[in-house]
Amino acid sequence: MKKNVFASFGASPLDVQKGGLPTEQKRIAEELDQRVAERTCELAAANEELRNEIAERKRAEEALAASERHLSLIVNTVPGLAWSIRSDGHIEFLNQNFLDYLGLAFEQVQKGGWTFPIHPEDVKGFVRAREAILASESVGEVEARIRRFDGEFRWFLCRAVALRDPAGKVVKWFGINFDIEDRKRAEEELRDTQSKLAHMTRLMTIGQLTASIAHEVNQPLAGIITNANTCLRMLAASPPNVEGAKETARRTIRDGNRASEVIKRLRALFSKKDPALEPVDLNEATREVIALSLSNLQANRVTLRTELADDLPNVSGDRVQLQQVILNLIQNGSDAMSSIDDRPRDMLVKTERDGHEALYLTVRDVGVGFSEEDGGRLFDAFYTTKGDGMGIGLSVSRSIVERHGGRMWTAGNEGPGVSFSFSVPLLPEQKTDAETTVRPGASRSMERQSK
Amino acid sequence: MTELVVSTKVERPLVSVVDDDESVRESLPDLLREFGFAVRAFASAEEFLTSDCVAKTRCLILDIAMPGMTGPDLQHELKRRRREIPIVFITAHADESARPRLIEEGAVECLLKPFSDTDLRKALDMALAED
Repeated sequence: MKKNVFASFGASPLDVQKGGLPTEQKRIAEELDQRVAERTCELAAANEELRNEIAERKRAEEALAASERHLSLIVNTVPGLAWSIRSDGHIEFLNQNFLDYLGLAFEQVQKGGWTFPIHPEDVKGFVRAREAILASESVGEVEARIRRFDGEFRWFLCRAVALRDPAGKVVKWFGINFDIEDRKRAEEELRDTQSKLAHMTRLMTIGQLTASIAHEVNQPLAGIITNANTCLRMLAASPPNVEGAKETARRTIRDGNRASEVIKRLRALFSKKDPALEPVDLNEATREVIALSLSNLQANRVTLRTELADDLPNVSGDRVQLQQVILNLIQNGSDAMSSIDDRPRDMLVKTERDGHEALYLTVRDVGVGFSEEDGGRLFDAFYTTKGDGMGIGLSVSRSIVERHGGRMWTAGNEGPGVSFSFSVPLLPEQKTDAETTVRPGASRSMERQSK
Repeated sequence: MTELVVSTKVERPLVSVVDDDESVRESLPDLLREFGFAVRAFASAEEFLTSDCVAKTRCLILDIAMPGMTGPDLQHELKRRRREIPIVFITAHADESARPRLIEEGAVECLLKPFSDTDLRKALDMALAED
């Protein structure tokens, strides 16, 4: 460039050189040189600035792209199906995880609409969740099944928020769906196991009862059939033994009544299925359970003694449930003594009054007892010290007692074995009655009225 | 008349009943007498063992589940004493699983209560044939 400047001014200075360079011309030339240099400098600076600006912009663009890539990476790899939908239902965005899960291109989903991959039964849940979010202005969630690329529906927890304009109108929805299929399955398995367990506990109790019932009914039946056979033979003899036949017929009737008593007790045990609280005569309930347990106790060579306190007021409870607790305690006591051979297998069932508030029942055995470590865990579900036990009985028993507002506890005896006790609150009116009435006769008449 | 003569000449075989259930102790002896046996009834195994019938009993009708000494306990005790009386077990527990074991141990039969007179008769015939 400099060369060109010189070239353009060069034609006239030739004459000057020939003529011996006058001062004026020299000054102008120098000034020109200087201007040119200055201008050149300015241009270079501007050029540099421009270059910098371009580089700067490029860096910013790169940073922005990196940031976008980063955000996109986050949103596409976040362990969930992220999405945004306009308030009119138009799908605006689905992250890569979502598209991969569906096995569809974004356009395909957009065409299908937002309900398209959702299980038909679960769509209404979204509608409800949407309304809830609109009402509460907070995060809403709904569980729904979403169809995977292979056609399998998996459970998702879908959480969403609404983006609103300054006027408060919803513009769009943002959400993320988490796969909860495994959790859901675990929950179902747990529920299934729980209901199986509940059924098993019931079956076990009923199984034990059935064995007792069969025994209780078979005894008098044996008498009835033998007596009737004898009666027939006596009448068929010649001459017929009428007196003998009469006696056997009388015994047949008596045994028939015995069998019917067993059935009556049974009916009393099973008729009340409603868990509503009712006045319960604890002694009577206890006697019924003992009657049904006797054959099992005998089979296990257990001698049962009872100390049922007189004039006990009624407690408030579910008769059958309380009887299941008593049955369980008696069964446990019997089991605890099954290996005891160096002492009589004595069991005591005792009812007592605990002040004005409650009655309590104790079952004491002389069995193997339990260690301190076992003692702390006896009421835990699935904890058992028996080889063939399931560890359900005591935990169920305690929950029944606690539902009745009572307590269940255990204590080692002075001698061998342990005592299990539980308390049940009295009927409310009998609590006050017990405080104001001193005569025992009066509380007994109350008891009759409330029955 | 002839029957009477026979019965005085041939002593009726003694059948002992051991059962803690009273209705069985009352009803079974009458039927057994109708069958033509002499009968003694006992409420427990211990009562039977201390009686004078252990040596004379030709057949034992024995309840399985009793407080104190059980039917099988008595069976073992008799074996130990080398006094092996044919035993017909009777039980109100409708549990068939005990039967094979008891028969393996030497019992003639195990009848589930309630049982018919013909089943009882069959079992007694077997027991006495064994004896």
